[in-house]
Amino acid sequence: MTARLLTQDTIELVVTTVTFLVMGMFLGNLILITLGMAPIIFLALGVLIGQPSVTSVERVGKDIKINVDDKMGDRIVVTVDGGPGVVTVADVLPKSFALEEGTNFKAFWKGLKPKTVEFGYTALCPKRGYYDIGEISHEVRHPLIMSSNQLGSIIAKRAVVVQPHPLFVRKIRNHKSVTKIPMPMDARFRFGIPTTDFREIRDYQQGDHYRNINWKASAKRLSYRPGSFLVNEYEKEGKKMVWIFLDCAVHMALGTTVNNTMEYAIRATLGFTNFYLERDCRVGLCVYDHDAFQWEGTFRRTEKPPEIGVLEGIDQIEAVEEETEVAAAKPRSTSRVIFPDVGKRQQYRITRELLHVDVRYSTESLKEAIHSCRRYIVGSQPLFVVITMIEAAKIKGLVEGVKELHRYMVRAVGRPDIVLFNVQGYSVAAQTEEEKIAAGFLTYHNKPVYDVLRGMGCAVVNWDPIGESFAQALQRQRVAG
Amino acid sequence: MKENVIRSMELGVSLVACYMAAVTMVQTALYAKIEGMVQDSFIGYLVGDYISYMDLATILLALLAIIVFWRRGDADWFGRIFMLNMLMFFPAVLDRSTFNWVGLILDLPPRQEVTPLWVFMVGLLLQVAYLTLRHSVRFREMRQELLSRGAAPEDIDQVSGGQMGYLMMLVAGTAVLTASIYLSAPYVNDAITNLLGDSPDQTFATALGITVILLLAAALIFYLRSRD
Repeated sequence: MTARLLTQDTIELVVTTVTFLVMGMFLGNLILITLGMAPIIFLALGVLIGQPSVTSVERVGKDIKINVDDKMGDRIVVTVDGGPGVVTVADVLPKSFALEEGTNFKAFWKGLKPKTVEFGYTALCPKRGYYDIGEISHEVRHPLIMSSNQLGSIIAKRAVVVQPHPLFVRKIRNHKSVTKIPMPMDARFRFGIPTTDFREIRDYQQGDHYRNINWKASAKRLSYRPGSFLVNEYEKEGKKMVWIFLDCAVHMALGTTVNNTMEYAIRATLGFTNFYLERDCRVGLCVYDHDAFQWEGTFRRTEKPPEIGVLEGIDQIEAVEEETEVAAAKPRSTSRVIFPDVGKRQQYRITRELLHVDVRYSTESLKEAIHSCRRYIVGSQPLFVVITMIEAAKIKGLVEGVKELHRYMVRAVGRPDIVLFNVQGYSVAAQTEEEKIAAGFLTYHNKPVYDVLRGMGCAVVNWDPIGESFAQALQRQRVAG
Repeated sequence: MKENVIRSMELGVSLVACYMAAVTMVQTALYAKIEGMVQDSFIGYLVGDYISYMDLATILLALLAIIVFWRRGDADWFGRIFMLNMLMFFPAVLDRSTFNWVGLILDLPPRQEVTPLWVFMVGLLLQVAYLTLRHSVRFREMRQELLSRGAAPEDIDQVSGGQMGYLMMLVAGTAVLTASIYLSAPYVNDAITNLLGDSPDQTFATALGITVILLLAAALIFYLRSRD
């Protein structure tokens, strides 16, 4: 039910009419009395003719899945009935979308006849995420603004999944530097027991067991093209495990809404995920908040103490104070963990999780996050990859986290098991030459911290996302040491 | 329709209404009285024979004021245009009033150089100008709002064109209906007189008038409070 009251403007018309009528009666003037009727006739005509009403709004198109920096488009068809007036229709896009072509806001004049209007747009999607464009809002206005605007919205759902670009590390072209991206300790096991998790169908190779031949697929293929048989490939069971810890603290928002440290960190996470999953590792992901170490471990009473009543024979010396209400407990930290697994399904899980990751996505510190995952870490020899932005002023949380990691791993001489992947956010945020120089100074200021962390047995990999590719960063690390 | 077209139309309507109101004013008893007072004062002594140009000067001054008001362009200044026009129109109304209270106070004999139809038509023109200007301001405001919300300029022009067309249609309809009422009033009066007899009961007529007014007021209140 919508209110359709007259606006304040129309009250003025009524007042004008009354003024003319009163003046006409006071002066005994028929001309004034008749003239006084003009505004009310105008108002009556305007109200009687009425205003438009939106009968339907439809989307033309389907849910889509695209990559970051791709374009999405949509078309909207609006049907309007009723009297004349102004109609506006808006398909509200997420903030990060940039309109490229067309318009998502349409204003048009509806005459006396019913009208159907179609409009569309193309938008650039520069930020990953799951976007649910749910409502199309519309507004109907009386042509002379005599009655209140009628606002409405129609549910026309459209899901847009914007996937981040993974930074693939397939091949390192520079053969002089031997690729040595750290692998988990158990990665030397090339073969494992096949599990029941289907991985892919591939061509038959010498040594494949005949039981693995997919006869149906092979027959289908051989019916139109001679070639080899096809065999089912299953995921191998293995102990190789990689834990990726992704920082989502506030400092990761350095940069613009679209192009910030967090986005690069997520791309790096996908790059690592892809790299290790392709090498049959079990990859787990845990999102943590670097800043959360500041409030971790604080104890606050969450329950009322038990009532013991009056103790007979004991005199109360101190004054009894009324217990204040139990203070609100510390909000439960939300754990954002994807437990280790292998295969495409795991890659899909991690990609889907990363669509939702944003600043302050988790409330656990690194130490707490490791503690949450401890049951999956104990007994294995995992590789830990911590993706963060190292800052000299805020190293305490990271150091405590690294100490916690050391509790769950066996040190191997000459091979680091903790990779601190440092996304250098200062250079992401730097726009001008002066800012770039300042970013260089800040990065230089961090160098002693890197030494401290290396001293703790970590491999610190610095990545300047603006100046070099992900693969280059990993390669440079190897060459450097 | 572009904004400058709307502005030009506003200027045209304002000037025509003002000119007609000023021309009507200079033919009224009150204006004649003021003109006489000016002529007898030191101003009359200073301007001498040029006092005959006072009518023209008054009209030009009024037009100049209207242009200044129009340049300001907002609703308040358009309200002042209407007030100025009504101020110039009022002496003509007084001359055609049954109870000319101002004339009685100032001892002004009515000067009926303009016909009642002329006075009515000028008054109707002022009403038309008032209705047109107050809505054209709203249309311009809406243009700005739509523009700030990201509407395409050609869409806005199309909206403005539709609004102006609709306004013209409605104003024309209003003018025709109002003029019809005024012109048919004597015939309606005759018809009622014939219906009720040569000398209708005054009490009955008064009661009928009050009832109609009350019904109108009640209908208005109910409408204002109504909800669909």
